[in-house]
Amino acid sequence: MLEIRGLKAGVKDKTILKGIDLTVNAGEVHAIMGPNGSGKSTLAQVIAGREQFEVSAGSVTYDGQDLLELAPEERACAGIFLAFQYPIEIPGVSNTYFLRSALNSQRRARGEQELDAFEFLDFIQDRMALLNLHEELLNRPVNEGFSGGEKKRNEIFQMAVLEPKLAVLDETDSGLDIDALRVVASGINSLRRDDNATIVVTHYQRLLNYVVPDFVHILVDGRIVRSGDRQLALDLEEQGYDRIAARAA
Amino acid sequence: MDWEALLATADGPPGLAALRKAAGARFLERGLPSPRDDGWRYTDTRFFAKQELELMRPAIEIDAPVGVRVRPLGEAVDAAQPFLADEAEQGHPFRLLNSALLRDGLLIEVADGVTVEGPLHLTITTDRGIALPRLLVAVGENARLTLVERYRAGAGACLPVTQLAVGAGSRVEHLRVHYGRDDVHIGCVDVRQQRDSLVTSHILTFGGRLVRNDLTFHLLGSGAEARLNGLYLADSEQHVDNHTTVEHAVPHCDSRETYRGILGGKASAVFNGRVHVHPNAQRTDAQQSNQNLLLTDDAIIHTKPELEIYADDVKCTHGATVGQLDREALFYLRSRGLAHDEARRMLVDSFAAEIVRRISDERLRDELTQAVVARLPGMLAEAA
Repeated sequence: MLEIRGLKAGVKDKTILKGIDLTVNAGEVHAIMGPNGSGKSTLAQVIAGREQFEVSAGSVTYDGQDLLELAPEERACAGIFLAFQYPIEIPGVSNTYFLRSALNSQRRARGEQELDAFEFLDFIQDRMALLNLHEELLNRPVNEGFSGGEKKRNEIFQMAVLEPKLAVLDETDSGLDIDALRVVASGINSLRRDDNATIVVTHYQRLLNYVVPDFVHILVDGRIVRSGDRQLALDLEEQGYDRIAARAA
Repeated sequence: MDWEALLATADGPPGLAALRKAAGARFLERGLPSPRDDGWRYTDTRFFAKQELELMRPAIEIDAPVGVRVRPLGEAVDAAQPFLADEAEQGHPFRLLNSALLRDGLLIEVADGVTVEGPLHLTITTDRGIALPRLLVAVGENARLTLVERYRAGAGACLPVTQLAVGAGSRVEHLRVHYGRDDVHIGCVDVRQQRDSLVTSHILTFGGRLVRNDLTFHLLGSGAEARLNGLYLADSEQHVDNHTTVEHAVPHCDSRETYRGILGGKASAVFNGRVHVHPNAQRTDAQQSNQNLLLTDDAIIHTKPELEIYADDVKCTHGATVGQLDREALFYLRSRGLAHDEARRMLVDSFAAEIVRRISDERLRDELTQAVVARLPGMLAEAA
């Protein structure tokens, strides 16, 4: 589904990703772990198409097409979703209006019928229940005045509505208390299917107790220094990034 | 423009001849403002120097609900006198000019205790020459009125003056909407509020070669509240100037001012918000905010608060922002599948909606929401 080869990217004078190789197949969950500043969020945003980052080398192939050629909205319509580490507040645009516009934009791109306001409300009912979201939150402006936990739940709710093929979750666990973490994790798990894939970007092992990865990759200074199975995340928790990175070097 | 010749052709209700003459003499003595004059630094009125404009009568379409009395000024000269007593001494040159050529006016009255259901619509159309409509609005005590002035202009100049006298305990909502592109529109709104009255003003400008709005609110009775909302959209080489003054003359009055501008192309705009708290006006609460969205590098905004406070127990705040579309927000919307243009339109639209949503009447709100929606694609295409 996703093939990243020799990817180098950064801002102006600073290379942040220094040669990433990663293959993600349908049905898999990959965890990318690493210390602060290792490039985890940059990788997530480069996959989603953030123009601020310049790709200087390498390739990203998604479903056989050159992903780097596509605008962020084209990637979204092709099934890529980024759950933001810091979801953006958009005053004056209601959550429902925003999400219905986004969904319809994607449906149009896929040649499907758009949903009107009533059909949309039907469509999102069980997804709201899944994330334990109140109706009142839907009518509020996007993320405005939401608590940290509500913002993260709203991200996964958007994911549930947009049904991406490849979801990239950027530090979705940060700032969540244990109850919110369980809600968010069960939301993510219930969206797992054989034909979609998830990349979980996280600093801590905690989320991986609930969203169990098939592969774990350790990112240090813009490079994946180790890859392994779930056990690697547990080792990391025990030994810390320094030792794991040192052993890799 | 030969003003003397134009003024020589002035005619109208005989009972207003003395005012026309006095205001005309004062106007000729003062002349048009120059960039050196206070308040006219960024707004160039040389348009008038370059051509001769013929005096035209504006077409005024009136849709009046039950409970409001509307008469031509010529039939109500005596009743209009309280509004006109000081008009020959006004400092604003275009307001003086309007008095000097006073003819096309309406006196609008709402009696004490009357709640007028539904808005009074006035649609004023001008397409060339120079037109000077005058609206005198007397709202009695404990009355309610929504008044909409819609200006539709082709070319030429429209210099309207509206005076509102609002009695104790009354609530008035006033909209002045200007739809134009190549015209000159220089308008004054003068509001005098008595005790416990609430006036909500919406000044909505959708473009024009040169648009200038001068608002003056006089809070004359304790407990009076003024809400001044403004939205201005301009692109290409259009210019929009909003000058507002709130005179806090007595204690315990509130003013809330919120103006927002969206500028594209090489448009320029001015916001000048003056708040004058008189020495005895204790417990004044005045808030002002002006936010601007610049869609291009060539658009210019001059924004300036002007607080003159002569009382010590007051709360006055002001703030201004100038910015571009938030890139993070744009990326967020696009990452959900919204096309770049649609994402931009959504953000700009939401910025404008913050003003439009303050209009109480649902149909008016819908009309203005649609007007914003219709205006944006052109502005955004030009800025792309």
